[in-house]
Formats: sequence, C-alpha cells, structure tokens
Amino acid sequence: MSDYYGLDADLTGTSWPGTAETGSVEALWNDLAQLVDIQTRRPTGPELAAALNADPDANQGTTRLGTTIARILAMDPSVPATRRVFADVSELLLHLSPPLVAGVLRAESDPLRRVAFLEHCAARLTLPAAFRVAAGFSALTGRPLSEPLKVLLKRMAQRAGSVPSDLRAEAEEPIRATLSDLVVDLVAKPAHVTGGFEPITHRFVARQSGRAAPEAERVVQIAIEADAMGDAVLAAVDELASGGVLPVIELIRRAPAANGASTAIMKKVASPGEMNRLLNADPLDEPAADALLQGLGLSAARVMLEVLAESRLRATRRYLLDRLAAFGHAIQPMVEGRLKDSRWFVQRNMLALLRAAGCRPGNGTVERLLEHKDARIRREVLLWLLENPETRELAISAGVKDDHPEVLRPALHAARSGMPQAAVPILARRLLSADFPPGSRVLAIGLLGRSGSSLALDALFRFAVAGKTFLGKPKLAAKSPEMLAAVSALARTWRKDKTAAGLLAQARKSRDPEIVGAARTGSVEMS
Amino acid sequence: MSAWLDAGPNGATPGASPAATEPAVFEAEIETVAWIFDEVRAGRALPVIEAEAVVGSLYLQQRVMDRLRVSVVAHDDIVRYHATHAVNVAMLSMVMAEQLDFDAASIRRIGLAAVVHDVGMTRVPADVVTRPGQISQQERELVMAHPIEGARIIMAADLSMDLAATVAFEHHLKTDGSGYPRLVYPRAPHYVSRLVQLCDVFHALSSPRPFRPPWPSEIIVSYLNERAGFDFHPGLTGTLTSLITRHLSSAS
Repeated sequence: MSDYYGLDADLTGTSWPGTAETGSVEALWNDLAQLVDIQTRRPTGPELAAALNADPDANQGTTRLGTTIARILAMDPSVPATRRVFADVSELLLHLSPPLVAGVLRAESDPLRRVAFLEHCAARLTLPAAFRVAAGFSALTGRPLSEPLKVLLKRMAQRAGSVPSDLRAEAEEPIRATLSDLVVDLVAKPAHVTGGFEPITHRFVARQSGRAAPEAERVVQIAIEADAMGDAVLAAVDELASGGVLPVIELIRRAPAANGASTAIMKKVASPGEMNRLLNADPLDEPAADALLQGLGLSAARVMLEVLAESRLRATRRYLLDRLAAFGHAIQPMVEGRLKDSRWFVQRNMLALLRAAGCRPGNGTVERLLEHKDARIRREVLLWLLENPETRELAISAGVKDDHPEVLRPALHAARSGMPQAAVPILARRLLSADFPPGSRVLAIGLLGRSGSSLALDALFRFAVAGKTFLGKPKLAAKSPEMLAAVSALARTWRKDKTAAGLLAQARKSRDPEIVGAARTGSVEMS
Repeated sequence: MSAWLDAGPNGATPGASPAATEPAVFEAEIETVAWIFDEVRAGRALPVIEAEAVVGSLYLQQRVMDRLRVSVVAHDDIVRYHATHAVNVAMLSMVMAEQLDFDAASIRRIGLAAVVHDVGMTRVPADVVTRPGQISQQERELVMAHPIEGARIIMAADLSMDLAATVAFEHHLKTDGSGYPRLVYPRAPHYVSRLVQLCDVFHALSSPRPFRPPWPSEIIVSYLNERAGFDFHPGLTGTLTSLITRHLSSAS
C-alpha cells in the first residue's frame, strides 16, 4: 500500500499547544519570520524551521512561537489563504527540532486553551504534522501511544492516501477525529502533572444528544442495576437532576438495595439546597426526604433546623423533630445555637429536640431558660433537665416554685421518685400560697409528708388542722382531699411528733372510715 | 453504498469484490480489539481511544472505501473470535445505522458501542466459552453476567461511553425488557441496543460454535423474521434482513 503521507518515520516524536484571535494570517506568519530576523522574503515552513533550529536563542522564544502558531490555527479555515498558511505551519512543525516543538507545546499553559489548540492541530494541520503533534504531546504528558493505535493510525493514513483526491478529506476525517480524541484525552488525563500539564476535569460535562444518545434516566438506571460508576453516570445524573433531584432519588428509592453506585449517586445529588427545597414542599414527601437525608447525613442538620424554625406545616415539623432527634448528641451544638432565636416556638422546638435526641445539658446556657417569661419554654426546659440526673434536682427546685401549673406539675411528679431537700422549704412555702394550683395540692402535700423535713410539718398542719378544741387541742379540719393527704402524711412520717400524735388520735376516733384509714395507715395516695 | 458480506476465514473471501481482494482487510482492527480485550482482561481500563480508532478505521472503509464484510474465525481461538465478532458486529451496526439515516457522529458512536458490546465476556474464563459440552449453572450465571460486567467496565472508562455502556448492558434484553440481566427498572431496550443486538445475533449465528455449525444466511433471515416483535425490534429486523437478502441475491 502506498505511503502517501510518508508516515513511517512518524508517531514517535514531539509536539505543542494553542488558541487564537483575529488578525491577518500572513501578518502572523511574518511575526514568526521576525523571530529569526527573516525580513527579505516570505520564508517557507522548512526554511523557517531551519532558521529557528539554528538559532541558539530560539528556546527562549518558544512561548511566542507557540502562541503565534496557535493564533494562526484558530483562524477561519474556509479562507484559501489561511489554509495555505496552515500548510506552511505543518511544514514548520514537521521540520522543527524536537526541543523547539516541545517548547511550542508548552507555550499555552491554560488547559482549555491548550485543548483548543490541539483540536485545531488535529483538524487543520496536514496529517503528518497532526501525527507529530499527537505523538509529541503524548511524550510530554507521559502517556505513550499504544502500539496498536500507532499501527491502526498508520493503516488508516495509508488507506486515506490511497483514495482519489476528491475523497481524501472525507477519508482523513475519522483519522483527525481519532487524533483529536487522543490529544483531548491526553490533556484530560496526563500521566503526570509536571510542566504545567494539569489535568482538566470540568470541560467534558455535556452529554451527547440525538437518536443515538441514551436518555439520562436510562444511564442512571443501568448504573444502579449494574453497580457501575464513571463520568458518564455522573453526567447523566447531572442532566436528570437538572430540574430537581426527585427523579434521581426516586430511582434510588426503587432499588431493592443500596450499592456503591446508588450511594455515590446519592452523594452527588444530595445537597443542603435540595433538602431545603424538598422540606418546603407541601405536602412533604417523606420517603424522598429520607432518601436525601441518607445521602447527606449530618450535613443536612443545619437546613433541617432552619426549616423546623420556619415551617408552618405541623407534619413537616413533626418529621423534622423525629429525624433530627435521630442524630443524637451530634446536633447539640447546632441546636443550642438556635436557642438564641427569640421566638418562643423555635426555642420550645429546639428544647424538645434536645430532649428527644438524648442530649445532656451541661454548660449552663439552657438552665437560664428556667427563668424564661414564657411558661411553654420553662416547661420544655424543665422536662429536659428532669431527664438528666445532673440537673434533676435543679429542675425540681425550679419547678416547684413555678407559678404555672404546667410547669409545676411535671416537677411534682418527678419529685415522687425523690424530693431534693433544697426543694422542701420552697414547696412548703409555695403550698401555702393562695395561687398554688388546687389540682396539685394533694400531690404536694404527699411529697412534703414523705420528705420528713420539719419544714414540711407546718404546711401539713395547715391542711389537717382547723383551729383548736375547747380544751386547746388542735382540731381536725373538715374532710377534704387535702386534709386526708395531710393526715396520711402525718401518720406515715410524724407519728412521734406530739402535736401530730394528738391529731392522729382524733382522726382514728372519727366515724369517717377514710379519715380513720388515713390516720392509721397513711393510706391516702399521692396523685 | 453497496455492501457485501462474506463468510470466509478472517474475511478473506476471494472474488467478492475488488476491494475485498485486499488480504486481511480488518487485520489491524481485529488485532487492536484483541489488544483492547487483553488490556481489560489484565485489569486495566478500557482503552477508549484505541476503540475509537478501530471505529474510525471501519468507518473510513465503510463510507469512503465502500467495504463491508462479515468474517468468521474458528472458535478455538476465543480471544480472536471475540475480537473478530466485535469488529464484524461493529461494521454491520454501522451499515445499519447509515441505512437508518443516523448522522456521521452517531454512526461512529454506534460502531464504538458495537465494538465493546461484549467486553464483559473478558470476565468469563475462556474454557467456559469454548467447551463443547454443557456448562454448569454457575458458569451459565457467569456468562449471563457479562452485560453487567461490560457496563461496569465501560462506564468507568470515559464520559463519552454512555451509549456503549447502555448497549453492553441491554444487548441480551428482549423487546419487552425480559431476557437478561434482570431489570430493576422495567423498560424496553434502547433503540441502538436493539440494533446492535440484531447484528450480534446475526454474526453469532453465522459463526461456528463448539456445539453447532454456522447457520446459513437464509436460515438466519428466516429465524430473525420469525422472532421479530418478540425477541427483536421488527423495524430493525426488516432493515437487517433486507440488507442480507440484497447481498444474497447480488452474490447469486
């Protein structure tokens, strides 16, 4: 077969970079000639190459040489004069010494501009020159061309050289396309990144379209089905998620089990912004949010807290409280930070969340809220503090002096399993005040009775005694739940107290069996 | 364009056409594909540029030099069989794509998909494919996993390989999505998957297997027509069978 292009010695050598702007192509060629002070006549490519090769200072000028060549090759190829200069440049590059060609290739440091230059080389130089560029660039990037590729390219060139001249451009097209793919691939994935050859990773993001292109959804489906990943999948995910991530999440949800691909895809689409969009939908798509949450993990917490603070949808808030609580202690700093929000419902939700997440109070910031003017906040703090042994006593003491029944009640109930001594005088004092919630009195009396503190005794007498008898002895108060509770407490704890003993003796003589029972056995239960 | 298909060893059928007299027309392409499969078999990444070069070379011959042939090699050389099969399926797929008025870039993408459609077979031990007798259930599962393996290999290779991965994964699916591998997301195979599938089946049936001789082209045409609408896309089946029938009549 003929060697039309004389390629046998090629595909082993050197190469270069580029891009372009406007300007006369001849002027640019003259610029190249002036690099070596050729001013008398227009040099040919080999002449210019010979002059440059002989110039000991040429190595210093390779950047200008390279960028000028890049500008020439970027010019409109439909103009015949331009195509002639392309041919001259091809000759120049074929005759230039390897070090100078390497310098030319290094001239363009920007990867994207280098890609443009290399694509122009593949498309606009003669095939031998284009081969030399590809081979040279392969050497510079440390990725040698495979032998089969060299053989195939030569074979293709031989075949293209054997067709009639009117078909040659068409015959060369697949060769140039291969060279273009090759150099772009070399730029994208160099074996080493020295000498300014940084890999580019963001250029090739557009997916093909048209009849031969698989739909993005299909590509993602296959990725999940085959547990396959790669740039093609990532690009398809980008396209499928361009209008929102739900279609991607839906695919992941429908997969019977997570695999490497579905996990990687989820990581790609899962962003706090997407989570925000999903959580603000009405109604909330809980399975979708769960899937996204699985991909985001704790990084979703901040946006979830924001939505929890702002959402008007009870179902959304309920969902968020539940899912945020599942993070456990990890979210405590974020949630405590949110307590600075002055809105009562935000603070209440955050406190409820701290409690549900099993966080432990400790730095004193939350305890201050026991003094909050809003009883709903005080109650929530109290409930949380009651659950922690370290703060339980503090919470009971604070709760028993609270004048709001919804705060007092949980404190009293908590005290049934242990009344702190510090809380006894507080409760004794509060119990006697007129604003003490009547519904909590029996419980409070029972707690004081159990405490054994003498501070409680006066309070018990206030409910068990109603003045004195004719003989000056304490007189039993009329029967009431509070009276029975007080008598019962005296019977249980203060039998040996002289006053209490007298009172209990009276009670045991009562004709009312409930009073007798309370006095004998302390049978009135706290409730 | 005119197309001819011959079934001599390695495509060397004398007298089929002036261009076909050139010896071993696809030798470089087949060698390159064999090397590609070897690279994958060795655990390296799929060499996409080389695969594209194969397609470029086939395209050059098909479009510019007006050549088409389907060649067959003996089955005992499994590496060479896979490579020859890949090249022939690619060539046939590209001819079909041209007949179906795909643009030039799409024809090459379809060719690329066809070249690597069976790359997952590199994960199947050679003796499983070449053994004349029955294979075990475990070996059958290994063979039936080759579309999955192929999709994995191809997806990992390059952004531009989404069609190739799709075809590799779907080329054993039937019209209704049955077949293998079993789909998580029920769907019909992509049009190009069905195109390559037909060419794959045609070349496979026209090749000798350890357990059967090659089928004559007339029988293959009859079989494809019979299964059109069930196993194969009816319109595409018509295109392929017309192509083959035209060749048969011109050859006679």
